Amino acid sequence: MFTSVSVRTITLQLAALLATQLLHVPSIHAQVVGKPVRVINYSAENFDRLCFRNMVATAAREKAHRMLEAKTAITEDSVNLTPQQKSQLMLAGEVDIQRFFAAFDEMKSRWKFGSIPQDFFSEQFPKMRAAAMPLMDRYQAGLHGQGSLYHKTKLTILAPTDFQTMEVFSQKRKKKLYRNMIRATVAALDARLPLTIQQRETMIKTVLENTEALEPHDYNEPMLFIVLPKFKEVEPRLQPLFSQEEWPVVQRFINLAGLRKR
Amino acid sequence: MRQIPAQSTYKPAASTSNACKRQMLPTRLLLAMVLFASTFSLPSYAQVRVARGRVAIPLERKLNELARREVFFVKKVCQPNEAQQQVISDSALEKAKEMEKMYLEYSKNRAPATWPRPEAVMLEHLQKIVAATFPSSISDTYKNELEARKKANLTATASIVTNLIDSQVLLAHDEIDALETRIVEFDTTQNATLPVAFFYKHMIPIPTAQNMESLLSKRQLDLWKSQKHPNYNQPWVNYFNSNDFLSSILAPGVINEEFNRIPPGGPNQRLRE
Repeated sequence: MFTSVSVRTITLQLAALLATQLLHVPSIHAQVVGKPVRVINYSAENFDRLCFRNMVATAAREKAHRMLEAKTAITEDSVNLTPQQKSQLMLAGEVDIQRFFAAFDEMKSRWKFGSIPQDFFSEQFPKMRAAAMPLMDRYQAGLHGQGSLYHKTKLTILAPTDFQTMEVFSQKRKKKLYRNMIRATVAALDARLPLTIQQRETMIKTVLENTEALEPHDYNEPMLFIVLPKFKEVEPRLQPLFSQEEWPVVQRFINLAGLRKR
Repeated sequence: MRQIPAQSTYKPAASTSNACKRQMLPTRLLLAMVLFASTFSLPSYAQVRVARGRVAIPLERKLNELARREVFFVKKVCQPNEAQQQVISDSALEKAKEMEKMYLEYSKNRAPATWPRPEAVMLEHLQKIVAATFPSSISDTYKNELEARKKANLTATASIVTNLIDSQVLLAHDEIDALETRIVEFDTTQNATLPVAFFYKHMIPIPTAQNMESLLSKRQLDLWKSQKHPNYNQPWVNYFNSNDFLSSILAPGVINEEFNRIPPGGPNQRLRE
């Protein structure tokens, strides 16, 4: 009796086990056949690096502070600032930084970060990038330029003559930095299409005198792509400097500007 | 805010993965041993081996390109007649072949930083040929042109170094010129690799820490020290590394059938030789 019950129990258990195995087969198949959702890990830090050209937001903020100090120091080189004027300027500059990063944090809070399904990420990423673009440009142009509270404060606290002196000073600086970028761009062409003294010097002079100086460049992207569009602006003036066989090479060089990434 | 769908719970079977790992273990161990042995027994050769892999493929192409580009420049400056043109062209291409052998030999036993610059070798050769082929007034003009190009390159390099320093410390307009004049003299500028230094931030040849101290005011130096800089630690990037933005810009006369020819054994033939 006991033996037959035990045998029956074991048989039942075996049957149950078999059934379980059979029942599990479809679910295993379902796991393998079902298309897995691919997940992208995109952190807030990744986004910071995209916006601030490989810097996290905290580093970008620190850089903005350092540039504020440097900008105030360079203003002091051109005009005499009283301690009160200096602290007013620093305060205004600080407000510009606060405002910028508040706008950045607000924009960042609209997006989802972390492990995101690929489909969702693919849809979200271009929107994030487009929304970040104006802020990226603003940061790269400097937070204390025209339109900033810093600039307005300078206008208010400095005597008109001092302000004028400072503007002249800053334009000279801008022009020299622009000249340097042109020189290096012409040297890049020179490396591929050797130029004569006259071609080189006239090319630098033509671009420098006939285009508006760029704002100082922060060197986080290849300089060539920043300056080449300026060469494009004066193409008709540059053409007479080159022979017929050289000109297509120069044009190909200028058109490298199209490789610029945004 | 938009809701995201739940994540998948799909995971590969752990047992299979572990089995693979078990099978891979001896291979990994072997690889680690080989790497350890090669790293600690032959440090200098490891660099040469890597360099050889990088340079051997475009060697012929790059040297031919250099020769033809400089021949074009001689033509532009010296206005040769047909016979003179032939002499210059033959001589430059012959020199390119000679240089090819020389650099292949160097790649077996010398670190790239010690190789002579291909442009300098070619220009030195062409100056001699031009002096022997043309009247002194023309060869002097050619020499002056080459000197002016060298100077322009140094000025351009000093210019981007100055602009980089300015982007971190902000310089006054008179400081910009003063810095440039000093930077031109530094070894870092004189030895910079052009034209890559014009494009890549990490290749901009910033002066040594000691030289920076002599260039900047205390305020500027403090600001400079508080920021990250490109770590310029490669005194010479291989000329034969063709991966640059300008590889599609070729002087007239550089493209022809011979130049574009691929060796019958494929692009790696020379490496195997």
